[in-house]
Amino acid sequence: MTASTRSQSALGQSVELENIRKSYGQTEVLKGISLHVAPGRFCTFLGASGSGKSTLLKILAGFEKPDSGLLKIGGRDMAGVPVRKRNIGMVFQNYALFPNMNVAQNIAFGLKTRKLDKAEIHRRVNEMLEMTGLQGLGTRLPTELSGGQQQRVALARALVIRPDLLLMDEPLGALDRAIRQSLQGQIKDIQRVFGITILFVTHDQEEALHLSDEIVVMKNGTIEQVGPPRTLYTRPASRFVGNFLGECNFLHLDGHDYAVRPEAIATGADTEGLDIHLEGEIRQITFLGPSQRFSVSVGDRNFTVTRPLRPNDEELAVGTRLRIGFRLADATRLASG
Amino acid sequence: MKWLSLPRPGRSLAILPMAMFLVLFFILPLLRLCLLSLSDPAGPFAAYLRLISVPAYRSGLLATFGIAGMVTVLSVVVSYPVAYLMASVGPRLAALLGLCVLLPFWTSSLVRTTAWIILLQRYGVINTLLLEAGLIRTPIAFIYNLSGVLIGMTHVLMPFVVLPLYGAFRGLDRGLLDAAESLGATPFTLYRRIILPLTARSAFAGAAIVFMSALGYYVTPALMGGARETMAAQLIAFNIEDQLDWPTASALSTVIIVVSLVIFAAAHILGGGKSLFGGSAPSTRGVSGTTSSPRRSALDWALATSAVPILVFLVMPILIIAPMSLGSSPFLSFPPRDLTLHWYRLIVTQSQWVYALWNSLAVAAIAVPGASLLGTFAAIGLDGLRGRLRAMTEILMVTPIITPAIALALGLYYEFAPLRLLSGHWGLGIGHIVLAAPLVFVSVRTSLSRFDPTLIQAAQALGAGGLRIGAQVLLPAITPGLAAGAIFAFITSFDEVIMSLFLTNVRSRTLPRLIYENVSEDINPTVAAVSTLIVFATLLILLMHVTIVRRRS
Repeated sequence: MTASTRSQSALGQSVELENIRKSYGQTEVLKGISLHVAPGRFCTFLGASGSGKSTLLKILAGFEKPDSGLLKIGGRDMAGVPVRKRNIGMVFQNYALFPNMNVAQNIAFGLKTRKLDKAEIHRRVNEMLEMTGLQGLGTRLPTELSGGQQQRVALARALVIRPDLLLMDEPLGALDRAIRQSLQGQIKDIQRVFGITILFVTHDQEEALHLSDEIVVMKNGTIEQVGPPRTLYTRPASRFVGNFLGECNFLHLDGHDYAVRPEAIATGADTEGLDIHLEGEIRQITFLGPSQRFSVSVGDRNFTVTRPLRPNDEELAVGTRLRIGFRLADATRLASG
Repeated sequence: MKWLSLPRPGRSLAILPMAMFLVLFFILPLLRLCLLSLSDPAGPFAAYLRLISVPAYRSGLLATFGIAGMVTVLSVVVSYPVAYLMASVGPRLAALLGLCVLLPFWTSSLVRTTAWIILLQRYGVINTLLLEAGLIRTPIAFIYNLSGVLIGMTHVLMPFVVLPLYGAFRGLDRGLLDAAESLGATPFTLYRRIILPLTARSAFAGAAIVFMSALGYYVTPALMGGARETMAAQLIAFNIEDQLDWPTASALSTVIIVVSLVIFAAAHILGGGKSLFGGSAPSTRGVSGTTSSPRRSALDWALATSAVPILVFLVMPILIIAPMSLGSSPFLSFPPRDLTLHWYRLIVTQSQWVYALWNSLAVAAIAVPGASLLGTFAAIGLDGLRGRLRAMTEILMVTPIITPAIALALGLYYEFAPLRLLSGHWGLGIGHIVLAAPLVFVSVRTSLSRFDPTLIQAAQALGAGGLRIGAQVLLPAITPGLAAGAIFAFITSFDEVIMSLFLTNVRSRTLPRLIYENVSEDINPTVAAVSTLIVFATLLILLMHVTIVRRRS
């Protein structure tokens, strides 16, 4: 695809990774990553620190070269294309706003490097300020902004260049919960309006579940599982994914391992007619507000069970015997032990 | 130590000794000097009018500002590559490069000037090499002209720009460069719009110090310049020694003091109210999630490569002095033949060198404890002040650093000569306290700025009295700053030459004065030998300092 058609298109570009490898000295950080992200998708790389997700983002942006493998953006091979020619928007963890420039100058930076004329720059900066709710803050310096505002400037600066791809590296990590949630909404809206492809790195599973069309769970430089949030949550392919996204019970039945979510397990009378029945003793009860969580020991196994709290429910005490059960269809058979 | 447990206003009393000392031996003498400039028999402003109407003074002042300006620009230009290289290489190499900058920085400016003369004189090292290589037919006149002054002064002063600039480069958030690059910036744009703007403030602060110091320079222009490079300090000395024209000398002093103060104030205001010598808190290194291994552009390589000749320029005089001191020829010929320790033996046997060393140490024995006590107490006392009063006090405490030493020397000479303080060590000792106490003050204050004041409250809550708090809580916290400050104080006193020229006589003259007298007559291998010893002493002191800094962090 040529440069001219790309810049006219409102849609984001596809991303293809083929067997990407990267080592630092003796440590292999990426062990052959292959992935295809369709245009306009919101794809999140989720993993603990050291899983390789940030390195992957650096390779996508061009800050690092892969040792081997193929990277295509919009069908174009990126090997040898320097960072500044990739037309990628990037939002950094600490925002990396230029402290010597005000908000408008920060946003205009990428337009000036593209040698747009003054009137066009002015128009697009103002449009962007409005879209990100930063009207009237154009002449402020980054240090005079709140964390949430800085984040929006970083987003505006990355989007104003109409990138083929938006990379976001834990962009909300430094913000408190309320601002984070409102910004998550804003990022979703912006993605819908621009139809842009977003690759988002986070270690926050809740954030990943809220935002993504697709989640890539990473572990030790490999992809553990890829899929829409709902699939990943309800059908984890491995113990790792089950544990990483929410809580999970694992049990061995008929020679296979199964994963069952705590909320898929019923208690007491609700267990009538379910496939699997067990009986155990309540070890701990945690009140969560809308629900409560029971830790139930069955033999030498512990089960975590969450049940919605109805006002009329009988109050159970620690030490009481409790019947629990679930449908086999609600459990996921894991690929291997 | 009761005042430690006093409330803030009480603690501020600790400032008083240094404040009173500075009023007595710094502000009053300088004010007297200003008044003296108005006491010309021909009328109150006659001395100033003379500075404009007499061509020698007019051109001398123009030369002073011109040379100071050129040295400042040169220092900034050559500092950028060095600071960039230091900040870009690994920690080991950075430490080595740091030594290349710091060793000349701490070596007596007189020793360095001596080395430059040995290198650059008509049949000096460089001309000899060029002649033998057949590159030139007749020796190039490097010194006793403008190039000599610029080489000598830039060499002495450029570390004042390199060091803050190095800090700025270190503090530069790599993430900002990544961000700019992702937005399409070329290497040139990176420098023009990100790197230069973000390091300019540090370069500017360094440049201000260079310019102010250059205004009062005496030794380098006197020894390495020609008649056309006669600077204000030389004119001042000439008026006192040869003409006994106090009003003119005072007027010249007043002019360079006022210009220095104006520049200091301008730098202070432009620096956002941060003092030039403000705590030097290490700039927090930007933490960016995607900080990547740096990719070097051709521009980066060019900048780094151009640092190499500048580093050679920095260390060359330090390295050349030792071999030259071992040659048997009394004319310092290069390369040195017939290695001998003859000149070192001469130092020990000629009583003048031993006496001068003794005098220097005696003066340091007054200056170092005096400066350490006054500076430390003042730094602790500063904590008791708030707001504008604190800012004003801070400025007063560091003003002696930026005041041209020649003016202070003159002011003290005027006060001390009638009191017969010049034949002993006390006159110069007091002068050195004025110069060195601010260094201790700045150094201890930096230590204190990292000190958590609630520790004092915690100690009080645990029942500790003032003495115990002082000895067990505060003293350990400020010891590194105090030690570093005392080292600065010693080096300052031991290297200082301008005050010694005024405040000592033949009997009480110090080592720097004796070197100066030797070099200005005829440079000889004995001076090279003495200089070599001083370089080694400096290296030793520097290593001491490095270990202290390492323990501090």
